[in-house]
Amino acid sequence: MSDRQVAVVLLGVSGVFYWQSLAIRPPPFAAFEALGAETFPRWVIAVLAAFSLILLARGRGPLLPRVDRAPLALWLARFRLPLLSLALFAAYAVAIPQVGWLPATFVYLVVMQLVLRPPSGRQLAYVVVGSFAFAWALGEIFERFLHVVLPRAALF
Amino acid sequence: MDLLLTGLGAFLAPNVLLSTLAGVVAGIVLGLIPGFTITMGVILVLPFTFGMTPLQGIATMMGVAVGGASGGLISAALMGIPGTPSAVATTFDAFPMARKGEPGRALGLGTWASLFGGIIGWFVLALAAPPLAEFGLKFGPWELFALVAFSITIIASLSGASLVKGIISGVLGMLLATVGSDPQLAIPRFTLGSPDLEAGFDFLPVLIGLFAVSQLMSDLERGITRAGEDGARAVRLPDIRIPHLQVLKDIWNSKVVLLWSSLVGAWIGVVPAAGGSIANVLAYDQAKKVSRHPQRYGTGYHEGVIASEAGNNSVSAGDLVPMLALGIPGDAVTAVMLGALLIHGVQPGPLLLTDPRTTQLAYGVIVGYLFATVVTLVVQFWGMRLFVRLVLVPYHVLVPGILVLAALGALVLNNRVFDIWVLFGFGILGYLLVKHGFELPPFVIGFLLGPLAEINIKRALQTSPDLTLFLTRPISALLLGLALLSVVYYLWIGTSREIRRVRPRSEP
Repeated sequence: MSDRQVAVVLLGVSGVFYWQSLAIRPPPFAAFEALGAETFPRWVIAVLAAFSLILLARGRGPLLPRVDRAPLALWLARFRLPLLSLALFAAYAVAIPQVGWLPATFVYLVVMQLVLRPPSGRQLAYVVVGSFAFAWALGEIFERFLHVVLPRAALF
Repeated sequence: MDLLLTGLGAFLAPNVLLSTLAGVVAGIVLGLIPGFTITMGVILVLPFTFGMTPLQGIATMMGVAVGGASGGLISAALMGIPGTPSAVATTFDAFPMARKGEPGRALGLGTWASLFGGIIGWFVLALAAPPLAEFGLKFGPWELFALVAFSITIIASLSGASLVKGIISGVLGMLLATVGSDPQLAIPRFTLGSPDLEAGFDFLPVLIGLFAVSQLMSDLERGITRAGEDGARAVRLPDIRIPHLQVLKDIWNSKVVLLWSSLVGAWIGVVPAAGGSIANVLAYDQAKKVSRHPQRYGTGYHEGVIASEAGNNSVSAGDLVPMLALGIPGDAVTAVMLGALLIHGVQPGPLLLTDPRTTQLAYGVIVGYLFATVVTLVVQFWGMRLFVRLVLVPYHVLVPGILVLAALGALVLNNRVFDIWVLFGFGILGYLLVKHGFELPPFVIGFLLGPLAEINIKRALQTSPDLTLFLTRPISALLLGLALLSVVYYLWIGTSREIRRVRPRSEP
């Protein structure tokens, strides 16, 4: 996105936050407060909007997005790994409370390594064993030595 | 002196010493791997410190910061790739020196220069922090609010090419910090009816997402999995033998460069938000300007290695000055340390160094920095052959491991999966911000200091509704004036450049 498009997005964010600030209802006992709960956020929103307008005025690049199919394939090729990694991370976050921390982490480590650099032959065995060892060791450090209880499975 | 001895007594506890040593080793390892930053290392270590005492936790993170600043030298010298952003200028001379057949000399110069730079920085820390804390005690809510405004504008102007984007980043951080409950009356704000959001966004998942997740996504986008591994395989690891006597002789002959670079680095650290990457480059640049042989810089000249490494280590000490004295982070690393203090129930600010209940902690940190600097030298030399081999660890193995550590760090804070989602969301936000030229340190500072600004402006108005006090109280007026001046100056510079860029086209 160009700077001017980013500025428009930021103005939109300011607008949304301002609209949400209208829903802030201080209770009656807060009448003595010099600044209400909504005042400081609104000042910050105003500063954000002001500098977004400066960026819009001084920024370069087009204001309207251009829809171009040809570069889409290039875009997907370029952002394939980050998008896949983010999707896998989201799946990992969903899985943790369902199947427990250790199984979710083990599977996540294996799948991520397969996606980033598909192994062949004996390397796959190393990936599986190494991932299990790492997940197990980390779990032991946190549960036994740091006394942090990690999530257990909700499904079983 | 008594207070330093008190700090020394607290620091010499075996658990604190061991934690610092572990932090230094972790820092060197994380620092030498290209693509990882010292900030990421400190953030990943933070969850491990939850079960520790405050001093032990801060000492561990400080060990990571000091070790990481030195660790970046190894890949900078051997691969020409800075291990951390604070080793950029180190590559200018360390890599050519290694290619000329002197890798041991390059590593030795950098490691010894880091030690001496760190020691000089420590003197700045020990001498500057206590009087600054005493001065900070005079601050009322007007001055504290003005200090926050000044910090954000300075960070915004120093951290990137665009002041406007820097300020937007800082203000966006402040805005997202208001999500949750009003700090005085706990009135819900921007919570969308969600009970999870009523506590707001916790600092740690925000930080991990912004720095660790976004950095990894950027690396994956650049295809670093392949390039990093191919690059690593292409490196034939040399036999490292360090000629200590020759190195120490080189450093003695360049003592003025060493001292000047260290002072430049320490001063950069004292200024809020200017960090190791700026200190590294500025120290190198300054040393070149005062050198008798500036034309030799960039060719494998020993002064170049000394200047850059002394600068990037002394800055760590300088960063601790505003953090300990005023509760204002000197850079992203000290912002994490401030977050750690808050997690451990310690309130940062001028009282940290002056209140008898916390002086042992504060002076323990000051003493600990010196210890970490010395230990880094010993560990780096002793483990050099092993550390050099770690450069070859495949990136496709490291990335998932780092992400798991990041998720674990967010999870153990409050034992809520919601914090992993916060990390995820801020990771995407951080990635998008960086891609569009917005710097992350202003965002972090705005997020951390925003609540402080709000509380203090409310206190100021509750004490007296007279807004002119912000301008009539001298310290507050000075800080607000400097903040306004820096904004106006950089906006004017930007506008002049724009006019010069456009004018030649309009002339016939």
